[in-house]
Formats: sequence, structure tokens, C-alpha cells
Amino acid sequence: MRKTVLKVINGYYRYDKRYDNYQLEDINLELYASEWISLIGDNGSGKSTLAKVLSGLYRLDRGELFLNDVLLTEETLPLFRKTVGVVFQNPDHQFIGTSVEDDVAFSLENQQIIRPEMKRRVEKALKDVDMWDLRSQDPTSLSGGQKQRVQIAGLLAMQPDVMIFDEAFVMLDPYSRRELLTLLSDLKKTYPLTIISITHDPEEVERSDRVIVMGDAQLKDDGTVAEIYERNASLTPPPSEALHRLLIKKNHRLKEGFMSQADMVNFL
Amino acid sequence: MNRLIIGRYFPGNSLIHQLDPRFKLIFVLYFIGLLFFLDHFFLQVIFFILTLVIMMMTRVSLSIYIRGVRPLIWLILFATVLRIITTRGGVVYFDVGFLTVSHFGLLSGLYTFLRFIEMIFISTVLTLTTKPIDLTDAIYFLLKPLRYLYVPVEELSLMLSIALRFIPNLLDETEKVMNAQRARGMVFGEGNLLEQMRALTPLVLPLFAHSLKRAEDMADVLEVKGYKSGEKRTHYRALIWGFKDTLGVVLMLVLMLVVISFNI
Repeated sequence: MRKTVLKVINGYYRYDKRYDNYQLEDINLELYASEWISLIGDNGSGKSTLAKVLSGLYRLDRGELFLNDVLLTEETLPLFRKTVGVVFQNPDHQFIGTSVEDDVAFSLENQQIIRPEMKRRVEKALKDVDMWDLRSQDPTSLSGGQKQRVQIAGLLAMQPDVMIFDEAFVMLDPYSRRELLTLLSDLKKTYPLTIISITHDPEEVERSDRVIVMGDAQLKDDGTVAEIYERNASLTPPPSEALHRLLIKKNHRLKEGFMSQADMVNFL
Repeated sequence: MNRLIIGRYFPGNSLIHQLDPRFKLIFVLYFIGLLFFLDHFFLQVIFFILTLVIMMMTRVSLSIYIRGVRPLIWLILFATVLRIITTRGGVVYFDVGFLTVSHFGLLSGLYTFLRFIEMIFISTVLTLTTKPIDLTDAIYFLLKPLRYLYVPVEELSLMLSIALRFIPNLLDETEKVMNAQRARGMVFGEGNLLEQMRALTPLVLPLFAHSLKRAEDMADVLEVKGYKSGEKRTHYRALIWGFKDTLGVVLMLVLMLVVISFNI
């Protein structure tokens, strides 16, 4: 049986508490350990709001949020902080330390981890993301991809169960983006991580185990990559599926349903 | 903007670079304090030579230090001239109306000039050889006892560290906004004072908006990284007091004795 990491029951959230205009409505969601979940949907559909709720940054106006069966309250918030990490879009707005290692150590300092253990974790995390050699550098002098690697190292050092990426790779060039996604895939093989990625990038979606579609502040669909693209023709598909659809249109005889990159390679 | 020396760190491995930032900070404050007790020409010479020796020990080019003095040179000269004409005593070299230049006046002007120059040089030694974050740590350490008076030392230290961290970003952003406004036909640095101030409005407003957005993002980051105001934290970096720092304290005592001996 799969272990539930995050669970939302009847979740409602609104920014302006004076009005009944909810940015999240009737959210019922269960996220399992070691899943890679892509959260997709149009701008303003509530993806980032949901991410902030899941990370404990925003509190539900109605409903309940559980992390490893523990209900989020003021008392249990520190547990969320230790267990759920977030990487936001703009890396330049996220650096606190003036050197790479200082930045990675920041969350550990807040958790009152003793210095030898902190040193060990920082070294391990920076080596995991291949940034150890640049540990003394000023993070602002790094490339976009390296900056997000440092952010990922910051999360790894916390040893979290859940990593949330709020359009974290959107500012990167395609090469760096692919490199980071490969890094995440590798990390997921090494550590029991649940990854929640808010994205518009079909290539990124294709790597996930599960896709959740949001629209009008609600969950619209939930399934595997293949299921989602089969059921939602209006969504921009990953390149392999886009080619698949194009070939069908040109009267080529291909299998029905979704074609992943691996399927397409096999077919070709 | 890259010509600014104040607050700049020059990486290096000189003896001065290696000293504990706490010692450097205390020494600089102490040294500046002593400068106000140098009423003897010989003392002035000793302190000036000492300042030059310390500067040379940093292995940073003298021209860098002079660049640090340049923005303040008019202020220094004004104070020096004021001192010359307001101090009287000894042989009078020049006396026309209210302008009197006497021997003591010249000496006093020279002392004022040297005091200013030495203050700037020695503070520049501190900033050129100490990483901003080490300086923040030193300030935090020295202010620590104020926690007992409910001064939020930890918060002040973090604020200072984040502010230092964002200075290069802010300069970059200013450059970007200026270029964007130039592309729209904006001209900076021309016209009278009022026109120049008006030209700054389209620069300041976007910068202000960006800073607010950045502050909002930073608040989210601090929260998800588990920072809570007033909570105890451990520290990744450790300041290490070495033998060289202790020797520095001895030098401070010697300086004190020298100053006292000349003032008795």
C-alpha cells in the first residue's frame, strides 16, 4: 500500500478574506511517497496557491491539510518546515547567504542543527548537485542553472520528504532545464522524495508519474501522463505526443492513445 | 557605480585578510578613537606611518585607497582650512582682516587633515580585507550582550547580511532600469537640478516596485526555510580567534601606552 505524504480534505483558500472569491475550491487531494507530480493548468488556475498551501505558507480558510498524517496547526508548523521544501521561480530572490555554502546552511541554522552535522549535510548536498567546487562563490555570480542547483542543495540538506518546484525552471535555457530535470530524476532514485512540480513545460510533465490539472481554482483532472493527454486534447502535449498526433493527421498508421518519448523512439 | 570603494571587499591572503574580523573591527574603532588624542607632532607621524604600514600589509594598491578618499576630499579640505583660520597661537604668518594663519593654526590644520585621511584609510583597510558576511558576524558577536537589553541582535544581523547581499542586485537592477528608460528616450544627468530630479522618477518607481516584490519573495523564502524571528539559531560559520589577533591586542595596548606617555 502506498504511503500518503500530503493530504488535503475539502480545502478552500481565498486571498481576500472579505469576499467569497476563492482561489482554491473544494480541493481533495492525496499525494503519495516517492511520486513525481506535475501540477499543470492555465495562469490563474490556482497552481501556485495550491503549492503555497501544501508548503504551509498559506493556511486553508476551510478544510484540512495533513503531512504524514499530522494535521497542520501552529504547533505542527515546524514539522512542515523540516519536511517540505520549496524552490521558487526567480533564484535571485531566494539567496540569503553571501556564499553558496552559507545559503545551503541557512535552513539548517534555523533548525538548530549543530555545526559538525551542518558541515556534513552541506557538503553532501552540494556534492549531490555537483556544486561542491563552487561552495565559496557568491551565488549571484552563478549561471541560472547553477543557482537552481544551489536551491536544490538547500532543500536536500534539510532532508525533506517533499520538494515543491514552483515554476522553478521557467527562467532557464532548454539545455539547463533538461540538465536539472535529469538531476532531479537521479536524486529521486537515490532519496525517497516526493516531487511536486508546477509547470507549463510538457517535457517536464512527461517525466512525472502523475499529472494534476487545475482550472478555475479546482482540480479538473488527475492521472498518469498518458491518461491526462488522452483525456485533455486541448493541453499542449510533450514533443513525442505532438509528433504522434501530427503523423496521425497525415494518415500514418500509428497506435492509438498517448505516445511517450520512449514509445516514439521504439516506433521510429 | 563600480568605482565605489566604500564597502568593497578585495579578496586576498595577506596577514590583514587573515585576522579575525572581530579584532579588525575593534582595532579600527580603537584606532579612530586614539586619533583624537594625538596632540603631538611626533605622535601624528607615528600614527601616519603605522597607517601606511597597515595599508601596505593588505597588499592592496595604494591607488585603491586614494580612490576611497577622493569623494570626501572637498569636505576634508574645508575642515582643514576652517581649522587653520580658526586656531590661533605662536608665530603669525598671515593676518588680513578676519583671516589669520598662525603656527598653531597650520599645525592644527595638518592634524585635522591627517586625522581625516587616516580615518578613511583605516576604515577602508577593514572593508577591503573583510568579507561583508564576516563583518556582519563580527558586528553580531560584538552586539550580542545587548540581547539582555531586549535588542533584537539576531534580527539586526540577518537584516544587515541580507541588505549587503542585495546591494549588487540592486545596482544591477538600477542599470537595467536605466537602460530600459534610455531605450525609451530618457536622458539621465542632463538639465538643471529640478530636471535631473524629475528624470529620476521613472528610475526610482520601478526600482521601488521591484524591491517590494523581492521583499515579498524573500519573506516567503525565509518562512519556508524555517526562519522565525526571535527563535534560537545555530551558526554555520565560526569566527576563529588566532595568535595573530592576540598579538594585535598587544599592539593596541602599546599604542595606548605611547599616546598616554606623550600626553602626560
